[in-house]
Amino acid sequence: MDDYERVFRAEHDAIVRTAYLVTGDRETAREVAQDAFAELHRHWRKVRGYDKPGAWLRRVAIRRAVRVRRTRTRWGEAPLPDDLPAPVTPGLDAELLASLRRLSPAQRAAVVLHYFEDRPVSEVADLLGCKPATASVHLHRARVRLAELLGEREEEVDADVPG
Amino acid sequence: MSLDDRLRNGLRAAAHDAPVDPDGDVAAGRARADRRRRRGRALVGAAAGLLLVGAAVTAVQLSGDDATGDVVGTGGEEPTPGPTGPPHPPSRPAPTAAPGDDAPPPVRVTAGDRSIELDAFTYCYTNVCADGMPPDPLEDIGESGEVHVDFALPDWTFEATLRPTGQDCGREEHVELAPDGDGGHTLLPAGPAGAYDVTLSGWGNGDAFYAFRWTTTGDGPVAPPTARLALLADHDGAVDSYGIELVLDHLATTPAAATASVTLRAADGREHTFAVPGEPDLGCPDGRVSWFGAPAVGLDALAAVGGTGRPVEPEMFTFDVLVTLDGVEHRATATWPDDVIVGNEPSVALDFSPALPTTPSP
Repeated sequence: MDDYERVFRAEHDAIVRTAYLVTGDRETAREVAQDAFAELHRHWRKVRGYDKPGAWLRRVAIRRAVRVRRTRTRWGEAPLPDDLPAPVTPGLDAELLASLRRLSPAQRAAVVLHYFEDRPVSEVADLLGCKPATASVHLHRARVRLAELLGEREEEVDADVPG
Repeated sequence: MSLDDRLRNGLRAAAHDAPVDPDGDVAAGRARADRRRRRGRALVGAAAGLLLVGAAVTAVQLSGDDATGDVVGTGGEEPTPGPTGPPHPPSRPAPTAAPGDDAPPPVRVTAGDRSIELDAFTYCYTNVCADGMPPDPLEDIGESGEVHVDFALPDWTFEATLRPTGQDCGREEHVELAPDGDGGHTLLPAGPAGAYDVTLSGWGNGDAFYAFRWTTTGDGPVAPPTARLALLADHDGAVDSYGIELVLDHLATTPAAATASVTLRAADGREHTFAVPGEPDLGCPDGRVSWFGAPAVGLDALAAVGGTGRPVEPEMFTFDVLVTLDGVEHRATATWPDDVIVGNEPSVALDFSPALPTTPSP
């Protein structure tokens, strides 16, 4: 197994999962991940010398996922359904995921990076290519919006809305 | 269950539905990369990947030349200097635009008898946006005291950013391009003489970015220090905080140690002083010191002066900022929201006394 394939196998699942959570679509997540790895392969000569090739890859994938989500929404291409497909995994919070789809692409990506990947705001900002204060804005507004959406449907949820 | 816990649990459960199939994707990923190379028209730029957006097109990949720029000798006779002012350069052929291409026209950069043509590596032009990164290696215009830049976009404005070659955290200088009276623009050096990676940024009915390498043979001016603070924000007409961001830029040198504190004062005189938390980021780019903090820092200060959720009004608050750089104190005062920098909201500009250490002009 060469170095590229080692990085691929180490990062692939995480990249696909995050892309799936950001785009909300399995096929799109696959495309985003494949494009990111194709970029990695194309620039492997340079990236292999980085301390963290995985970080470079993740940055490419996240920004592409946000861009894809944004452009498909803007142009009405392949609209992402509000109704989720039948969950494969028991206990899937369909209501939460439907609410996530109603966030802007950047807000959704910030939420995924912060709550799913447990990244601090500074890393969220780096991956999204924005200032930390901007990343904080995305998270703040996402929380407010989600609290509004979920509060309408489930009174027992305690909205933990910072600020 | 808190919203935060629900988000964590819900996302982790949803992630199990992701289509992970590493074996299939390894082959697919490599095959995709190979197809791109064989197509002979690599992506515009590198690394970040491209996305072509059109009204009737789903997201597809954009191909373009990886290494841009053809070295073209302008030939011709040496120009005869005019009676006043510097000699005009030889007449330069206009950059060629590919007919029917969705990309903005290329830019021609000339220094003496050497000329290179550059394609945009990132742009939004007409209905198309493409994001990429500069080609690696950059086209190199060589050594000169100035370069001339020709754009086939007469209504656009352009500026240049110079960063020392090979220094990811090198000091950046931003330079306006001056019309040279010949239909093009002149770019003069900035900073000490040396090798720079130059990014040309253009704006008009869209934007476009081009890059090349230039070795300046003379020193140029350096930007004076600047400073800004973002603490409070106008959130739909009410006072809020998105965190604290304090940035000092273009200092003569990056200090070895830096601390900062802020006093937030309301119009009624109530005030709250706090140390800006955390260790600052030092020296990337060189000459920068910056602090970033979570929303709680600003929100606590706001609550302490009774400002939480109040409607935004002129001169609501004053920021008194004290920074200490290698043992030397500098103070600045700004008013919010009145001193907010247009285009860089919610930051306010800070003018320190004594002045921040300045690099002497060459």
